[in-house]
Amino acid sequence: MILTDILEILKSDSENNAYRIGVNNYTYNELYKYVCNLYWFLLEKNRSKKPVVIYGSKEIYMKASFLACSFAGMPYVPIDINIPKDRVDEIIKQINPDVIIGDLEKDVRAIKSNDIYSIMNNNNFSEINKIYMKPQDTYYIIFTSGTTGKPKGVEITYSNLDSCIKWLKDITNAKNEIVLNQANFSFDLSVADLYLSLVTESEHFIINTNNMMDFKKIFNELKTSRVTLAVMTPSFADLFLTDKLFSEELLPELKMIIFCGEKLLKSTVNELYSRFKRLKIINTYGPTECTFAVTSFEIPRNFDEEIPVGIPKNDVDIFVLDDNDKELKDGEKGEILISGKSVAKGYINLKTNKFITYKGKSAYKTGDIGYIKNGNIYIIGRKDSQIKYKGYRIELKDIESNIMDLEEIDKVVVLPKLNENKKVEMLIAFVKTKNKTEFDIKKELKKKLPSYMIPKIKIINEFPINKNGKCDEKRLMKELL
Amino acid sequence: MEEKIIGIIQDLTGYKDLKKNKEIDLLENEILDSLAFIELISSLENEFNIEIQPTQVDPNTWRSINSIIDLVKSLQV
Repeated sequence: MILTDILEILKSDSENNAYRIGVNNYTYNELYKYVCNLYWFLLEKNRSKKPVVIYGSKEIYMKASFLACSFAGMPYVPIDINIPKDRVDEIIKQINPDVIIGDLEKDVRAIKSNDIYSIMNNNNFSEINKIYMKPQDTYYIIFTSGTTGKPKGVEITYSNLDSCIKWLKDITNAKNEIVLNQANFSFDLSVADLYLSLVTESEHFIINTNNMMDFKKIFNELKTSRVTLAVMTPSFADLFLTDKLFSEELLPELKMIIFCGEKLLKSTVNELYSRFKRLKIINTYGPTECTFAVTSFEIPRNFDEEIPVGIPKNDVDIFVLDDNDKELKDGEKGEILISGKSVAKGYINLKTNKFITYKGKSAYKTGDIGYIKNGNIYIIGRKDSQIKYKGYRIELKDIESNIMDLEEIDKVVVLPKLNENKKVEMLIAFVKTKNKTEFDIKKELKKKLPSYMIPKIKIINEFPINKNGKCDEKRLMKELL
Repeated sequence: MEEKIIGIIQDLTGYKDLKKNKEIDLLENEILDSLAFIELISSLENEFNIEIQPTQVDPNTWRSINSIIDLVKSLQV
């Protein structure tokens, strides 16, 4: 399995770069030292083998800790520093870890990064002599937006991840690449580049996205990167494409982009293909509950049809169901159900009817609406009020419930504004409140929600009501925005 | 032209009172985010028949309406 392969590569005494961020390069050899030191440290410190919370941004200790936990047979929970404090507290409450790695203030369980670095850098270390992780063990827990206003943790097993990464290796045919990372580590898009880079003995290249408006700096970093393969959201590519310099001249060795996270538009594909002559674009699809992605489609050049998300990986089946869970025929639209090896264990501390057994296999009802045509799967929307915004998955009810939790709020409705391609271009919260301004609400919300979940606030006096006595969402968008 | 630029930014961001507040920090207050930014570039390019290369623009330009107006003026010459 992948940990055996990764351990072999780490042990191979390789001077190839494993990880690069800014001016810092780390070879496979160095990474191995870090992982070994943290492995022995964790085996000693986390005897309960409870999940380890790993808090930070894209520092090398993040990736080293993920691996150390994995070899030591402990699940890890990545939390990015941009997640606001209230949400971090909620995640930690749900996990109740014995050990936290990273600079989380005021928590006695947290081992600060300075201490982590000194543990990692011990040159007199023992090698990893056993991989404790078993196929059915939880490998990582990633938190995603929940309808109750609290994040929910998805438990991915070692077997789930192993299957996903082997499939990715297959469809990309990658070896000794330089793999561009976009996503932060608490977003499961990053799982693809984190592990694909390891199993293919590639360099994992981290771009600094703290100030996305500083194109000059970002493009200079890209220019020296020699990136060959990139994993990103379509929104991220669209941002780069606003500058004509984003082309083959900037990234002459870029041969593949893997897209995931949201709808990929023809305009994005066409623009990329016209600027990069040797590029291959792969569109993929899958919810966090099914381990990053389960379908793929390599988009041919001059492809003029609707872009599908492609065909499922070998050990996964996809069905389209109607409201009574009856299977639909080719071309008919319904809910997408995924069954097979990629389906997660479930949510932690949460019962749900989304994880079921279907035809004898574990399955997940995605809530995505789509259809199958000529074997290819197409996704067209959602059954509920979950949306994709900037590649992130958001429950509108999560935002509403966090606004309602503020003081002096009478009522709130959050709606997405769609552009002509039916992509969400803005989130708007219509709020009825006596004394608060939009800036008050935004400021308070920032303590509770990550920035991509903070909507535009529109204060209104009354909500329009439709014939059924419900809030008239159409009129709200039309008249009051 | 000012009116038009303010109109474009108001439409893209959903904020209606920007006219009175031309020095408000669009980035600090998260009024202009990455998605609105993509739209802003293409709207300004189409409306004023100019070409904007974000790599050639000081990132602080995107902070205020006044500096965005100055940028458009400088590119029109």
